[in-house]
Amino acid sequence: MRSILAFIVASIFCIAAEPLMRFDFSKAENGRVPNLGTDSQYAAQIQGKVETSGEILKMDGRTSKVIVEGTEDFDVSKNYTFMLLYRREDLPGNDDTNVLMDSFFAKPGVFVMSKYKNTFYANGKVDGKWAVDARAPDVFKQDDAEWHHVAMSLEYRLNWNDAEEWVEYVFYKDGVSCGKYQFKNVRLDKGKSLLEIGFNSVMGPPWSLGGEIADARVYEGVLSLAEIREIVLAQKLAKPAFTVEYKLTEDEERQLSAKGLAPEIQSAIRNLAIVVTPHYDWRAIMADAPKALQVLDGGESCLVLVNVDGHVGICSWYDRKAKRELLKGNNAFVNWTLEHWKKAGDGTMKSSHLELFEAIDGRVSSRLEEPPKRDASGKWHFDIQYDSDSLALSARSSFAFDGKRLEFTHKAASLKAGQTLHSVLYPKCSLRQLGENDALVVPEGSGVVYENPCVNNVRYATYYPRSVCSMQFCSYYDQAGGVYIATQDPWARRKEMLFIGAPGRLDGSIAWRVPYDNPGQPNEFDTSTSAVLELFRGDWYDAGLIYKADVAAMKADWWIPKLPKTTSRKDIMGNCIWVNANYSGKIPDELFALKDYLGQNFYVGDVWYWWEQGIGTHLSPTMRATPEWIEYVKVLKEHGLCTMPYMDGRLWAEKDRRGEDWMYSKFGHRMNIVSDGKPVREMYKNPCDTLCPATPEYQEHFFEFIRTITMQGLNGLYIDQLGAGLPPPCHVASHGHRYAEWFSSYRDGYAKLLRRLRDYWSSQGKEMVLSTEDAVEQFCTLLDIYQPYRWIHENQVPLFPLVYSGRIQFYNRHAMTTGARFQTTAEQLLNSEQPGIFMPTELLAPPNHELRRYAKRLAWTRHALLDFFNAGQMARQPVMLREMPRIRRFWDKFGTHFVTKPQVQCAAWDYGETRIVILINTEATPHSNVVRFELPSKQCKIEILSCDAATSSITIISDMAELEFTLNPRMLMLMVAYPESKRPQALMAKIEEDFVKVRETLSEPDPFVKHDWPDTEPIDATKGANFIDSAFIQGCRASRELGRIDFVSYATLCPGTVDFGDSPKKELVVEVACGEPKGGELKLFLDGVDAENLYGELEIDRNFKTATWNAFEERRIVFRKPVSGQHKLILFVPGKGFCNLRSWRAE
Amino acid sequence: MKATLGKHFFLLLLACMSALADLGRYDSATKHWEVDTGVLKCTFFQGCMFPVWFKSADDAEFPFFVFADSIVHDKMTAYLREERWATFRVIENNALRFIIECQGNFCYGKSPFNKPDDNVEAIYRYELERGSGEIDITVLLRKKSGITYDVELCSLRWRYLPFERYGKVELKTALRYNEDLKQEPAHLHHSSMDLRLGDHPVFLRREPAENTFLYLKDAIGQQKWSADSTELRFETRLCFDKTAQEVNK
Repeated sequence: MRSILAFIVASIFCIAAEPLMRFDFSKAENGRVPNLGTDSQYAAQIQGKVETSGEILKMDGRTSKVIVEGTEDFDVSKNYTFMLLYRREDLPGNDDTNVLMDSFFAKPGVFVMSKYKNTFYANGKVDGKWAVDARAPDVFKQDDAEWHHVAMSLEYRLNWNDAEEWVEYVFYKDGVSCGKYQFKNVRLDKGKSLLEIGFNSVMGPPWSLGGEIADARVYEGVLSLAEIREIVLAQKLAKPAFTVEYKLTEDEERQLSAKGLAPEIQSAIRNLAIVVTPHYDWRAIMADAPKALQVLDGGESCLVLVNVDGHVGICSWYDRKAKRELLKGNNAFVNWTLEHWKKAGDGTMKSSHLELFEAIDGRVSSRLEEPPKRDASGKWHFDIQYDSDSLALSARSSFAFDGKRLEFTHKAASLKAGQTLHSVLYPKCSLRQLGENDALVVPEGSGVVYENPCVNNVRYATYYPRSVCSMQFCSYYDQAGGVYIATQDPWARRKEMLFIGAPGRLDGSIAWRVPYDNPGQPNEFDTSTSAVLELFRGDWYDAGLIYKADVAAMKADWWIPKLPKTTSRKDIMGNCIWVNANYSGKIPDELFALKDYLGQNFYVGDVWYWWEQGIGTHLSPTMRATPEWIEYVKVLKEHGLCTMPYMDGRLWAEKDRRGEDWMYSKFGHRMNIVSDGKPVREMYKNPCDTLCPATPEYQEHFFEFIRTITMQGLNGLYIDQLGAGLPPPCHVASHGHRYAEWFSSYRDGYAKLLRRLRDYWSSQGKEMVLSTEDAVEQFCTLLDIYQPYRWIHENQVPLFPLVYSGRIQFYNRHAMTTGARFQTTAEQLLNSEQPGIFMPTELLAPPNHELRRYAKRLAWTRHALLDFFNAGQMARQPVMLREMPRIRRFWDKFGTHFVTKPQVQCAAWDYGETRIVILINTEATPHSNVVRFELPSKQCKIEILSCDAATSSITIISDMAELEFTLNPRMLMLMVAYPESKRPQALMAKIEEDFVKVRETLSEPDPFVKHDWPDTEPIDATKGANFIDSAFIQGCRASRELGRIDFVSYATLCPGTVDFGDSPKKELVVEVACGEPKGGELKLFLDGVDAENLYGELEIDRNFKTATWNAFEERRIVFRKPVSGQHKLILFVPGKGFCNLRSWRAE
Repeated sequence: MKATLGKHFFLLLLACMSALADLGRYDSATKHWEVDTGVLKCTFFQGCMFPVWFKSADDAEFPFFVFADSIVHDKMTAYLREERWATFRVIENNALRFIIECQGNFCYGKSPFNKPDDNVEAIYRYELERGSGEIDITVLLRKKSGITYDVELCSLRWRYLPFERYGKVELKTALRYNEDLKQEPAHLHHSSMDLRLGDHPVFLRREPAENTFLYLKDAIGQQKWSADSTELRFETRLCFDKTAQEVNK
């Protein structure tokens, strides 16, 4: 039994959240059990033949059942943790239960969690079929009549990423994990049946639980192992399958203090007390600490090694400056999972897993090869050898420690046939909770700071390298310092990042799946890379700088040592704005008009759909360009506009050329990844195979495909999903790689292809721009620009631009409202990103005068600051000393959907000795504040350039500047600081020249503004009209056949002159249809589209949905003040494709 | 080809004397065939059933057009220009002549996923000759089963774009059909937007589904291809007049 074999120490210092449902059967009255959880609508009904004894409910295994009322809408397509205390009993006369099937929880017809013979079993329906079948074998014993605590978490890891949606089951028995199962691209059906406990009314009596149950609970969300263990420890019926953390009593604390030991030794002993293992007797160690403990003094911090009877480990990392212990007592720096193979009845090799923890696992002995040594620089070096004869495992860690940084390598090997190393957590650590203002920064999107991760139970669990884990490090810190945790893998191999906060602790680990030659054949784990834990002071910015230095040191092939980057085309490096377009065959006059207005060439986005207009066809590698499309691209090029079409580099649509099996199974299917026995298939409009890029077929086909299309006059290519979707480990031996090969994705896959393409283009004298979706570090050399449109997270910080700005370009952010657009564009500029992608209609719409000018302002500001962004370095962010409004807006349905930003966003950048501070007011009101920022030298001159004021300057003799400023609505300001005697003349000349264009936006005529709104025969406002009959229609389609306005893209509609009559009207009623909920807004103007003409606004909620795109519902726009008389009515619909419109009338 | 023996002989002599390059050049980068007769240049685009991008000797561009040939059965229209996977067979490529056969199908819809009409196999043969601005087109359609189709053949669809770009153009197209279709030798000439086909007016309209194209309908119009006829042949000559380049400059 794995739960018995597992000998794991637990933390108990955590408090689980309140359950949604909790049923204590001692509270039953007349068969009804009240819910002690948070939602009182749920109550349990006991039915059938039962007996109660205190909290225990005895069930007959045939008729007895517990049904939870009010759970018709209990939705198992969300995250939950189920748990039940249970004891099985063979009841006399209950023949049916001999097969040992016991239902724990069931939503009949939708979801089951149960025991099936000796298997822990769960299943769920997807689209009406049982499709999510998880079985953990050998968890239960047939003759076991003991109480057990069974739990299962149900987690949807939904990252708004087509490639990465899955549901995960994790089973626990008595506080020990006994199986984890993932199912891709599924979401369980909701179903209307009631939740049942100990019974399954659809499956019938054989699945009824025969025995006793107590304390049934359901939690919202996924509880951590520590939280589950807390609950296991709190009950008295089931025996925990883990050992318990020990805390010194007051007496023992006094004894320890009386010893007069150094703080780090005392800390080490406290940690050892927690580790209740046979080989570490903390009392004996305390009695003679020098014998067992060795302090490796690094100055700022020290490590304490414990070495007792064949067991060696690091038991303390003491931060002397902050005077605190960093490690939890049960810390282990490595964890191994062994996989045992045996031949199944069908001849295939099946495996089961066994998890081991270094140092604290009694089955593994460890020793120092020789005493720790200190080199001339003061750095400590020591090796620990781990062996287990019984488990046929050998491993070694080689540590180096300099007082701040603990760097180590690790190798491991399985030593017997029939056993492989499945995975290794390297590094792994359990950190103590830091101070009150602790934070965890993770490389999610651009970087996200999670505040108070321990008390908030933050769970960052994802795979590197992909959009939600773009770099290989995390960092946990507070104001006194923190720990940076990273791997230094220059091949960007697939790893699972798992950082979990729980009260009292933060557990971090990076899991490597280990390749093997054949199932059951012993294998080795050797990454040839280091793992790093570094004590640092500061915040996310300082952690980012450490990582930046690490990436440079690890000699990753994606790192460009010297800026500016010379391998990207100049036009993409210098591009300052993106505008979208949709291929229609028509001359894109609007793009040329915008080009004239903006005064710059630019890249045109969304070209990927141009070459195939059919839905979903862009996924097919069988697609080809048409001569018309190539001709169209040529016209754009002649006007100085650049394009990149679309292709998908990761998926191969099952739907083949013209529906025939032309290339799919005959060719493409051979490249399909098979992972752990299952072909990896994804739905991306059509069923698709996920491709193994290391296969010769992939390399050849995609090379030819990309080469051919790009040589037809394109500026480059957008290769979708390379950064977004990570190929899972592939187990197809015929692909020419090892099982679960970790080089097949990047080094032997995508990088190999991209390098070959680059070489080819170079040989042809061509330069191509390559892009992909999202941002990940490993393509910074081989690609030119990323599309991080999913950087939508509360508390996101520019961690990725801090490390990689200049080495890669960025474009495309989303905004679902105009207000959000001002925010996202400001953040783009400050992050070194290229503003946009704007819809042409967005910039051309008459009411968007302010956005139009703002976009041009920011585009020219980027142009002025290209040296900072492409060859400089992001500096520490300035701080505002006074309170500032923070505005939360809907950016898009990715990440957290909403993002809160301060009214004035700011950033600082360095180029040479010059530092620039950029301030942007994103709102419609002015704002004054004091900005504080570090200066590049002690005596600096600061030149201040404002959009709407003359340039001024000031000299400051200090390390720090504190400057008061006022920013008018949508204005920006540059503060350029340099050593007083070293004015960067050329740089300043460029900034000043470009800033002329920025300032001109205030005075130049706007060619797209409209004053001549149509004067028509007055329309009776109370009768209204259909919008398709409007006298002015722009930015949408007037679909006369369907009688509606559709394909809205920043639509402006003016019915003409409307007579509101003498009696004041209070609102405009409009008919709206939203076939897919997206959200947006409607703005109502009268007689013009300036701010003073705005008479009403209506937000279309992002969840608002009608039955179809032609099922209209009325929505009301309330006038800011009653309206009478005749006016020109103008409706502005900012946003794209979120609603259709039909009629309007006033009331 | 109307070229005389004397002309052939002269060209052959010229080729021998000056070691002229082959008319057709395969571009391995794009997988297109580029053809240059010395008077007319055009491109056989990878997978496409007809040549595109016509230029004069000095690279003045003729307006862009595609073949809008289609077959209709059961109210479903399959277009030749939606074929992206035509195969090329170069019959002859030397200093005098370039002959290529493009083989493919009429396809329903615009997607590569959409089905071709497998019942009809289309072989379009193009013949170009050094020193000539003409392209002789021989079309062979083969039908597998007895279905009656409405066919619209030798129909050229002009892009909206070039008319705006080039204004007045001079392009002559001569059409000749065999007995399977209505025999009406015609001479297409347009010198402005006032298009005419011989002495007959020409339809000029936008396709509702693709309002960006002007549709120039020729004299053949829609014809029935009867169920009992298994093969349909016709010949066409496209004639690119040198005067066009003067206008285009």
